[in-house]
Amino acid sequence: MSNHELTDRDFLNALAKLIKEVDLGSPDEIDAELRTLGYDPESLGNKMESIAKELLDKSPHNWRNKGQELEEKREKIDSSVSGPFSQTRDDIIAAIQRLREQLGEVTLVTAHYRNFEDVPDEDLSSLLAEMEFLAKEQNMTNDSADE
Amino acid sequence: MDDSTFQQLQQQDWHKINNELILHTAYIAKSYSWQSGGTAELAKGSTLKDIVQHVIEKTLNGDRKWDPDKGPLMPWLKDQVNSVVDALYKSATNRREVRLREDESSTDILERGPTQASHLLFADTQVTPEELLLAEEDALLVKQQVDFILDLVSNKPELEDVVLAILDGCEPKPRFIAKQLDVEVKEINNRLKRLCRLAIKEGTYE
Repeated sequence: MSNHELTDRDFLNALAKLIKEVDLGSPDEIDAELRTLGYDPESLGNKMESIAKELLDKSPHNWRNKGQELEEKREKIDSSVSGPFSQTRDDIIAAIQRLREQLGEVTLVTAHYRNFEDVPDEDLSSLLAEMEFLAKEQNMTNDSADE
Repeated sequence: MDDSTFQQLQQQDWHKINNELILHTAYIAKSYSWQSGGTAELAKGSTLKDIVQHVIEKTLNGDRKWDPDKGPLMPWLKDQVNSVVDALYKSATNRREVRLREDESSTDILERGPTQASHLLFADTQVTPEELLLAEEDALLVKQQVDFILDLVSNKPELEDVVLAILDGCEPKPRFIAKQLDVEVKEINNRLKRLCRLAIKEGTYE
């Protein structure tokens, strides 16, 4: 077929390899191409966005779900940092500030709550739960590293 | 999956990712269909959407493990799609072989008489008459696909040039084809998209 004696199958394989490398262009160009092929890009994208959101929301990797897991197990956790959720708002804020010093400003959550005055009690409790969880994980990691 | 990877997955635009993956899948499914001689036609109905949804779901639940330290998400997702389409293509090819073997007895095939090439093959290998028949059929189907592509690009000089570059042995990557044809890489990408669009619209064995 050519001066390099590509077989028919070699040619098809090379073409397939080339097509895998194609840069499909900008999102607008991609959507325009999908329309040309008879698809509704809005509908396709929205559906997957919704599926992805649901999966991410329910994921055990989501910190909100980890917080829930923590709440279920918190009775078993030997927490020297804070007491039960029945503690006062001032106690919770004090515990958060101590944990913030321990963990540093690395967590996403603390960045959102620099001024605790405007934060509802419920959110403070949730924030403390997550920070306690992270502190416990950090302690476990340090313990493992020491072993 | 670690927290950092999960947070990066949360920050992605899954609308855009999905649409890019569907277009990518449409193109590569068509190319696999060429490679299989048109017997493994995957680019129909909701199959493309199913493939992409499968890959995205497995990524989000951690069954398919993306490692951000090893590279960006989109190329990795495309590799995952390629892998799924490859598996489906192989499965479809196997189904065809099984069907053929069930439909025809070896006596039927032998009664037709082997070709001259088959004598040579039988002499040197353990190829069965059924396998030989399949090989001959595959070669014919592949040739039909090549003819289909050549027909598709005929009288379209910018597409013919790309095909000729491949036939000339050019490394099958857009940047090498662009260099050989002395045009921009974007131009080659656009030509290849046009080729895929034409192939999908015209169909192969529809």
